[in-house]
Amino acid sequence: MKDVLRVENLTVEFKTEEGTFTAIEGVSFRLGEQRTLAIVGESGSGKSVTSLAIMQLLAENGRVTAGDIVLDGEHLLQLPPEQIQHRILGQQISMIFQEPMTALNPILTVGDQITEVLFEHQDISKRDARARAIDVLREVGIPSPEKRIKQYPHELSGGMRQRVMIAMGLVAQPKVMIADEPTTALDVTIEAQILDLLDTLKREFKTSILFVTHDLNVVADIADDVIVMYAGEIVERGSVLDVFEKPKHPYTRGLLEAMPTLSGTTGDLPTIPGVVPSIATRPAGCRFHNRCAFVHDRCRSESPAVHRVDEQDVRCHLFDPAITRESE
Amino acid sequence: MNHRSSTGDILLDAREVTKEYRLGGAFFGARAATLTAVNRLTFSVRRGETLGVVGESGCGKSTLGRVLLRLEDPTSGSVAFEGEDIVRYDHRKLRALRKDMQFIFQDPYSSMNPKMTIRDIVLEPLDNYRKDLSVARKERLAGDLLEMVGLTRDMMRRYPHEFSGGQRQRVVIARGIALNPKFVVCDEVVSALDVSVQAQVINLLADLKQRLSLTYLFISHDLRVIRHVSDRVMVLYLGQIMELAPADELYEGPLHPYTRSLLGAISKGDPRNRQERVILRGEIPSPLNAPRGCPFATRCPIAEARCHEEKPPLVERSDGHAVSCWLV
Repeated sequence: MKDVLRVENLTVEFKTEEGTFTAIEGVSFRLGEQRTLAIVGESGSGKSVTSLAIMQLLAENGRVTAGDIVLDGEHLLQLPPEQIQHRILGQQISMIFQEPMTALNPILTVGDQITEVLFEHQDISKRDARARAIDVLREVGIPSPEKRIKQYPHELSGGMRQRVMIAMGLVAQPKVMIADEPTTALDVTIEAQILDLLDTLKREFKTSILFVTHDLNVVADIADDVIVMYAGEIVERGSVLDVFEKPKHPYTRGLLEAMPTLSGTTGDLPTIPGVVPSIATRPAGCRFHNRCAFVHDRCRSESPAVHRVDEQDVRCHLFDPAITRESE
Repeated sequence: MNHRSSTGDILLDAREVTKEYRLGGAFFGARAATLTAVNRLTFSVRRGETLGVVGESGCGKSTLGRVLLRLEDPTSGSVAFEGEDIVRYDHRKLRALRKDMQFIFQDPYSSMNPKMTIRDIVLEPLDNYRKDLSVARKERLAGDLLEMVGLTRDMMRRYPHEFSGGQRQRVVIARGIALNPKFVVCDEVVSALDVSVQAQVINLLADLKQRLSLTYLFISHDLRVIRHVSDRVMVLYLGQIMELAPADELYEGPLHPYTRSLLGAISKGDPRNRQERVILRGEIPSPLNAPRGCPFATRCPIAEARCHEEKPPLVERSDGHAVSCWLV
C-alpha cells in the first residue's frame, strides 16, 4: 500500500518564559492511501501539536526541531513558505477543527469561504467556482445549497457549520484531510451523522484522513489504524482491531478499561491513578511510569524503546525481547 | 452508585414544573418570543437514589437542575422537598433550604474565584451558614473535606490555577458537600475531564454518596456515564420527558423512538460492530419554535399524522417505566 503521508521522528519545542519544552518527541507514522488513522490521547498528549506541526500552523513560540514530513513524495519542511501557502495547504492537505464557529470567517458568506480555497491556487472562473461550491455543499448533505452559499456562519446550526468546514476541507480534493476533534462539540445524533459523512466522503473524494481525538469510542467507529499518544510520545500503534482487542501498553489498557460501557458496569470503574503530567513535569524514564501498575526499576530511569509485538508497536520495557528471553 | 433505594420514599417531588424565558421585547415593535426550556415536567426523586437526566443540547436538563434548587424560579408548577412546596418559600426559608440542596457545576474553573485560596473556596458555604464555628474548627473541617475528596490538607493555601482540571473538580465537589446536604445536583461534572481522570471522579461521587447518604440528580449528555451512575434515567427532549425508567430497563429495552435513536446513534466502542449505527436525520428544532404535537415528531422514523398534532402524555407502561409516545 502506498503511503500518502509519512511523518518521521517529528520533534516540536515551545519556548516559554519558564524555559524551552519539548511538546512532542520522535513521532513517526505513515498514513496509507484512503485510510483513516486516528491519533488518540488525553490533554497534553501532543496529538494536536502533531497535527498543527504537519499543517505548519504552530503558535509563534513553537518550532519543529527535528524530523521529516513527507506528503506524496514532497518534503514539506524543506519547501519555502509561499509554496506551502499556495500549493499545499487547503489544496493537498486540509484541516477541519472542533469549533467551526471560530475556524470559519464570520464576515464571509459560506459560498465565499469555499470559493476562496479554489481561487488560492486554481485557475478557475467565478461561475465555475460557485458551481463547485454548490456541488460540494450538496455532497456534505446541506439542503438547498444554492440558498446556503449566501448565508453567514452564525445563521447555521453547529452541525451545519461542521458540514461547511468539511466542504471547505474537501473542495480542492486534497490527498489528506486532518480532522481535529471534529465531533467533540456536537450532540450524539449529529456526531453520528458527521462520522458517517466523513466515512462516505473519504471514499468519494479518495482522501486519507488523520483523525485526532480523545474519544476512543469514536476511534472504534471510524479508524483503520490507531496511534495512542501519551505525554508527547507515541506509546502504541496498530490496527484498530488489534489495539481494541489486545491492547499492549499499560496506558492503552487502562484507558479502555476506564470507560464506562453501554452494557452497564457496576461498582467502581477501573482507574489510572494520578494525572497526565504537564509539559514541564514529565517524569524521567518512561513517561507513564508513575501511573503504571507494572512499573519496575528500569522504567524509572530508562526511556523505553519501541518494540514490535505481533502486528503492534509498543513503547514499553515489558515487551523488550531481551528481557522476555532472560526470564524464560 | 447502582444501589437500589430500599425505602423508596420520596425526597423531591416535581409537579408540572415549567420554566419559560421571555426573549426580546417591545423595543421598536419587535415581538417578544417565549422560550419554554422546561415544559410541565412531573417526576420524583427517591431518597438515596441517583436519577440520571440525559438529553442533547436544548433539552432543558441544566435549566431543570437550576429550577429544582430554586436557583431560578419556575414559571409554574410545584417542587416539594421533603413534603414541603419550596416554590412558595420566602428568602429566609430558602436560605435555610440551601444547606440541604447543593449544585455542583460543570466548569470548575469558572465557578471558582481565582483570587481565593482553596481553603476559602471550600469553606465559602460555611462562612455563609455556619458563622458559629471557630476559625480553628473551620480550618480542620476544610482539611477533612479535602481529604474526603482525595486531595491533601496541605493544598489549602494554594490557588485554583495551581491545580489540574480533575483536582479542581474535586475542590468543587468538596465545596458542594461542605454543608452536609441531602440532595446534590451534578451538572456535567465529568464531561470536561480526561477519560483516566473521569473514572476517578465518578468513583469519588459514588463513594461520597454512600458515606454521606446523598441523593443525586445527575445531569449529563454522556449516555455511558449516565448508565454507570444512575438507578433510574430520565430522557429529555426539547424540555419534555420522553421516557423515564430504571437504568437497566431503559438501556436494554428502550421504548421511545427517541431513546432508541439516541442509543442507536452512539458508538458501541467496538470496531467489529460498527455497521449497526442508527443515523437519526435532521436536527433538534429550536425551542423557540417547538413542534405543536410530540416534540420529536419532526425527526421520528415512525411518526404519524396524530404525532404532529397532539402531544402524547407520559404514561406508565410497566412498573416504573413511563414513556410519552402515541405509538408504543
